[in-house]
Amino acid sequence: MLDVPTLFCTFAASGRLFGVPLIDIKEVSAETHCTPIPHAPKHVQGYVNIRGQIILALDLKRILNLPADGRVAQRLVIFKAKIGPAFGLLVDEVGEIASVRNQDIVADETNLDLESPSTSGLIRYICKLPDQLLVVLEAKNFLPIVEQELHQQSR
Amino acid sequence: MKNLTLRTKLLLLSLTLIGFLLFTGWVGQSRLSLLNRNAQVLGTEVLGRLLTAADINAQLFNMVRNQKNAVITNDDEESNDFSAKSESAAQELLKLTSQLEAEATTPEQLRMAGLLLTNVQNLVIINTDCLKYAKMNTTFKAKVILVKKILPALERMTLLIEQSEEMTTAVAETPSPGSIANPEKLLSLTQQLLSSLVLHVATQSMDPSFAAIDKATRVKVDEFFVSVSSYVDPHASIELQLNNLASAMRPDIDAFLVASSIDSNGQSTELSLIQSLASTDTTLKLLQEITKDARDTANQSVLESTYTYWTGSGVILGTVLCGLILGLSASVFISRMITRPVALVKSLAQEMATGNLLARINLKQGDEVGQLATATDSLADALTSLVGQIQQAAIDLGGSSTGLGTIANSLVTQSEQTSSRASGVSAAAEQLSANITTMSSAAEEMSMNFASIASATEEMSVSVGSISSAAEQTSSNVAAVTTAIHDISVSFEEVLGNVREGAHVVANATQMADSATSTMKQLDGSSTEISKVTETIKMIALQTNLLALNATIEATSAGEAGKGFAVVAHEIKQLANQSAKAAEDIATKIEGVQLGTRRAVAVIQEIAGVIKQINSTAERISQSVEHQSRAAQTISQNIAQANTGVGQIALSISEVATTANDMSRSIAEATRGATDVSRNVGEAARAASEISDNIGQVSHAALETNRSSESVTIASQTLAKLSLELTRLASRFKLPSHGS
Repeated sequence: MLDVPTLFCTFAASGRLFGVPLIDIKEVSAETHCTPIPHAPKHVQGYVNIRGQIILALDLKRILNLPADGRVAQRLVIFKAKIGPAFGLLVDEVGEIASVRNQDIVADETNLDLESPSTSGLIRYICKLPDQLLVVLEAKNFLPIVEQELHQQSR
Repeated sequence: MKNLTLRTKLLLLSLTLIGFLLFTGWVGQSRLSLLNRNAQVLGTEVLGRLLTAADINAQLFNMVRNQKNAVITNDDEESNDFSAKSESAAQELLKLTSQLEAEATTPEQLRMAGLLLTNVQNLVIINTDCLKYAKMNTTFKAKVILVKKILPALERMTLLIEQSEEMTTAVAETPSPGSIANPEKLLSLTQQLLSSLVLHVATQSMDPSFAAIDKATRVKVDEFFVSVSSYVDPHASIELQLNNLASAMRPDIDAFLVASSIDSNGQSTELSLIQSLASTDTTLKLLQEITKDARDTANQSVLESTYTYWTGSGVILGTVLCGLILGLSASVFISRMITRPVALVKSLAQEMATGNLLARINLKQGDEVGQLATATDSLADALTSLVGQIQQAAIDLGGSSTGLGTIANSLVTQSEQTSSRASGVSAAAEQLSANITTMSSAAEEMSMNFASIASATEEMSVSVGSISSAAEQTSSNVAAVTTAIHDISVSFEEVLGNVREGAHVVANATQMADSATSTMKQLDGSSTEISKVTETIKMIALQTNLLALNATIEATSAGEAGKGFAVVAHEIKQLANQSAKAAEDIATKIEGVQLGTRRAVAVIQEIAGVIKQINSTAERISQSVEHQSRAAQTISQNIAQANTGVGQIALSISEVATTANDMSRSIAEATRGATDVSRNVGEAARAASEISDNIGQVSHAALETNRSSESVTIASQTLAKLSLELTRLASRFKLPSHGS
């Protein structure tokens, strides 16, 4: 899966550590002021204006059904547009850049046992870092989940 | 050109090439159509014209041939046949000529065709005329009439005449009724008639002499018939026969004359040979001209085709060459426009990796690569400003730490001063204590003196009777009292002086305490400012962290080229983290300093309160002492009065008694004042000990302040070290000179 050490941008939400490949990230912004979208799924926090570009901001805690710990999201992780329309994940804070090798992976799609099927496509694998576990997310599956939610809502 | 996007550039390149392609195609198409038109001109026009000309030629010759045949032949039927053919050929000729005129495209051709048409029409008219005459065939007919009719008639007449002559000769000299009067004359007339008729028929009607011959012939004919009709002997058979023959011949001769006069064969031959030939020649010449013109047109068309071919191929080859050169140069230019800024960006990234932030690309190019270069420039700018800010923050930090150190030093100095002042206050307090002790002893002495006054007074009262004897004793006692009072006064003044000195010391201490308080407050303010600075540093460190993260993301996106930059970004991130930690450390230290400072302020304020209390106590002492002083003066006055009274004792016992009473009252007052003094002195002693205690506390607080200051000093030294470290790290980057 990972022949060479891959760099991941890590970020925390509800006290847990998540990560996405650094190559998928466009930038990390401190701008988290959202303009709410009426009738949007609960996953969607709103639109964020990043230097004139409108980014769809998703709430990672709501998508992954993480417990709300009352912390306000401090950072917006914006993905590159090649994954789909420009969108970002609202996270509590951004951590270090982690280098992960193949032997660090402790679980992937084959042996992940997830209760909720709606989040099954979002987690790619779980890696072992020196001090804690890193949940690597699949960025390209976020928007389909939101669309699915939208369809369920409209039905 | 520079500010267009890559897509637009490539689009422009493609458009240029497509434009050249289209132009080449258009030129080729137009050249080909020109060639096609030339070929059509050659194929249809010229060839058609040539064919028409050839047809005209053929028809012309056909017409002329048939005409000639019609003229030549003597047979009417054949003549009609030939003339019909010639007519049809002429009609065909007219039609072809009209066709040629209709097909004419240029004015020259039209003119020539018109000329030809006129000629042909002329020719056709001549031909029709010629044919008309040819059909008539009158000469032949005349000859036939001459040979078949006139000649036999004339021969018979000649025979008749000869018979008549023979008869005459045979009969006699007298004219016989059956003979002719003058046969020789008639014979010669017949011969003349024949010859003139032959001449008439032989001469062509076109001949200028024909009219004369015709006239002569007619004269001869008339003469002959007149001559023949002169023989009017109805009985003479020969004459009758002659007249009959002549009258029978007359229509023939008239017909012959008419036929011979018309001379159709001659006219037709003439027409055919002269006019028709001339007209045909002209027509042929015109036809040749037309053919030549057509050939010229063909040659011109061929030349034009060749020219078109060469220009077309030249233009196409030139355009293709131009397109190739332009396309190649444009692609080289565009690829250079792309590769050069990328190389610049790479070198800038390397420069930045080595820490040189002075380098910039400054590429005025609006396409994606230019935007990349501008973005890299702005990244370098952001890094520059960031490093500058860090440097500034480090310098600020250094300044703050220096200020902090200064403040701490001044605090130490102040606290030392406070300490020394406290010890001064202590000494003063001790002196005060000693004075109070002295005062106490003086007060005791005074008390004792009062007691002795009392006893003396009592003694005086008791032994008023023996005043005389006691007066001296009284006088001595009064002197003793005066002395004692004087002593008391001196003691009081001493006490007052000490109290004033104490008040002065207290005021000094209060001032010192205020100064210390304000210094502490200043320190507190400085600490708050330092807290603000550390907050700013923390914020900068957070922003730097985010910036470094984004820089790492950008560097990762750049792939292999961004590796060096990623290292720099990582180092900056670490630096930012270190700065945040240092700022946190400073904040903690500053909080400690603030706590110590606030405690010191509280203590100093307590000291100030205590000193104020001392001050008020000392003032009360001062008031009491002044009160006592006044009492002592009153005593002194009273005693002086007593002294005077003692001198006057002898004069009035009652006066003495009154004086003794007064004295008694005064003494009671003095006793009360002494008691007051005693109480106040006790109070003063307690206050003094309290002062001592407070002084001890001040010393303690000063020591604590000293400790806090040392801690502040250490913290500021750490801060200075950190700022130096920060400056050293930041100075790795080369910055524009105005930034430092």
